[in-house]
Amino acid sequence: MESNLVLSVVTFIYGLSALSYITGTVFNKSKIANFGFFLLIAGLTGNFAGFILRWIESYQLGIGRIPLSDMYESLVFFALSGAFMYALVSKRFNRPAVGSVVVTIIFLAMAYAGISPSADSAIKPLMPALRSNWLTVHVITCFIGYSGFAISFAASLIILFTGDTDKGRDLDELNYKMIIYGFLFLSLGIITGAVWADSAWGRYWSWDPKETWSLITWFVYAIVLHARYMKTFKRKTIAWLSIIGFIAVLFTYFGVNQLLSGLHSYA
Amino acid sequence: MNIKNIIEIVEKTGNTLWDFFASLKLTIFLFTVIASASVAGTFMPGKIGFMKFLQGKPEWIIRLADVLELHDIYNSPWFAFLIIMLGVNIVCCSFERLPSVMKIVRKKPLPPSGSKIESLKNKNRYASDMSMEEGIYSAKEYFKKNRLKVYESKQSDLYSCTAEKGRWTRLGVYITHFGFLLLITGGLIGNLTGFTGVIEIPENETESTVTLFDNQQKLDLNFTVTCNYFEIVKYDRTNTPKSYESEIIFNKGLEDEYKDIVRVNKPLRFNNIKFIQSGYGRRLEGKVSLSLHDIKTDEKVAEYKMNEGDTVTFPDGKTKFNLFTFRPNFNISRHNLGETFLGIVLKNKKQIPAALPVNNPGFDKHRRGDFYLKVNDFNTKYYTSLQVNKDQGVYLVYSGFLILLSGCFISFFMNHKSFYLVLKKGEKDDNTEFIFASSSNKNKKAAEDEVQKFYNFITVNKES
Repeated sequence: MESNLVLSVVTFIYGLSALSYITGTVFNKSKIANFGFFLLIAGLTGNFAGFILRWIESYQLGIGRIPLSDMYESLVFFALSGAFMYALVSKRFNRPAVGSVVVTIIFLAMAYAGISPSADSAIKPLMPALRSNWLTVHVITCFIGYSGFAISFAASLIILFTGDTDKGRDLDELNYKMIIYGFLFLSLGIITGAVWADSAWGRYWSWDPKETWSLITWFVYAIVLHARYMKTFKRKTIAWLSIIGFIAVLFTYFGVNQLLSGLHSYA
Repeated sequence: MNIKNIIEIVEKTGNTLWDFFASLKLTIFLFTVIASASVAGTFMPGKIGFMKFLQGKPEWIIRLADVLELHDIYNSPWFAFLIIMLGVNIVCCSFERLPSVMKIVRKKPLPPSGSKIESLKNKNRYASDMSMEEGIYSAKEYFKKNRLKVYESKQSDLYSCTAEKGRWTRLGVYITHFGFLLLITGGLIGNLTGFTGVIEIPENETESTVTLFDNQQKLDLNFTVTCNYFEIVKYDRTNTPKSYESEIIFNKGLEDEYKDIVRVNKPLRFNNIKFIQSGYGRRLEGKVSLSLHDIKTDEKVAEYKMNEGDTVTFPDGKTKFNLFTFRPNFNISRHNLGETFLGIVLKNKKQIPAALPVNNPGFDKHRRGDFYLKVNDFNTKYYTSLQVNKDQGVYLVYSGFLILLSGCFISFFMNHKSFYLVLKKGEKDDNTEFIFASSSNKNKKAAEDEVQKFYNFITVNKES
């Protein structure tokens, strides 16, 4: 399939972009980091093309569905939304160090999609319970949320590395901004999932491990949002909490499928 | 101790309790505990696995696990208690802070005094050759364009005003919290008054009892449910199921009959109870005809017609066979045998399981008895499996969802923005001095931008 080829090339471009960002950061050369941004936009364009192509291919196979329903497709979409979101904010928060982390995560997601045996790239027909418009809204909102959290994770890492200086104030703002975007979209994702579960399984909430872990993630970020109002919590503590939040995201996404069973075991 | 002292003590403990329930520390503590309990819950293996795990453990551990209902944390009383505590905490926090916020929200802003505007960091000045009237007109144009509401005061050579919007958005946090309260209330109501179970109806048959998920007990519905037909829709040219559906008739007395199709992702509702197409299966219809063969000669020695649950005795007089069930798709160590009858052979007080796959008539020889069984003839029919759910809290939960989301949106992305303007007579006649500043309850950067925007607006206006 052509889309797979396109997406492999995209993985490579993202890898180069991450490398440029890292080189630019380490040697403090903004030109190289800017080249990383250029590559990121190239990768983003290819990523989008690959996504659309896969959508078209599914119609040619007589299946006809938006590519958002298995591990492979969700990783590709995660990369797409993450790259898009970072491209949007990187003008205002021009920190190549953050870019290094974010684009590395995006590259790893794409590489994992391409290599891992649990992320099969064949286009398969949907099982009956997944045939719903809620699927599209649910997956898109969740992954926009995850992208926000990925960027906040990157910002938090850099905050912890560079120390609690005054210069870090914009990182703090980026961290908070991405958490509120992530939190709003995660809430939307959980809620659309609940409404969908209500119509597909008859219960809006059944404490399925994936559901529960998304709620745990939600609680962690709720702690971050409330901790900001308490003076006892310093910027570094918030950064740590945001990192814990992202670990919860990763567990919700990968760990639940590998270690626990439940309604989401197919994706 | 006199009454005065008692009142004092009561007041004191009351205050301490109130402070405890209205503290943000409690919120964070509860978030942490609920999240940790949820983490633990996802790793619990379920009731049977948990009982296995507890085997041989000390008595007190077993009792503790039982009291805390560790096999089912999410439905345990203490988990509900934590969530109720969170609710109480939110209510107390709101009562603690809401009155002062309401005061601000209700207040009508005053035009700024000279010292107020001087105290703001982002203030700006601009000496314009507009007249005072032109200046006021121009500023009002700007406020109108940006939908700011103006509160003004005017003297002969001094004009001042406060223009603002979004004062009410200070309530965003409370809207979010109200949504969350509705959500957990709805959840608790659903948990206490509702039920979830399953009903299996073969084609052309009628059922009226639900098997509950919680305790496997039967619940009578007060009406009947009939399955007219069941159908599996496949993807074109493949054998992969795309969807499945059943035509259902609900009947509650003569007048009250309702017929509709239930399919995956399209539930039906009758009498406040929801019916969801959750699965299907195939059952034996009528009796199955089996034949018994001698293992050495392959000769047929007997023939039986059996229902599920029936027991027959073999010609040797001491071996018995109990037909247990029919499985449309039976797997034995990952090997799919297809349609299979399962039963138990009883010989000399020994129980030996027997699998009789329809497409593999010699399979029962593996059991190594004196005889083996073969399936000859049988009929099956589909039954539809509907999940049945009653939950009266769901509307509260859904309104909670909407209110929570709007609250988040308001408190994250909207703010209370104020713009302060003072116009003075300038040094020359017909000249006006603009002094202006802006503030926001959340977004300092936006307030700075606002000052710049206003500056650009009046300078451009002057040129045109």
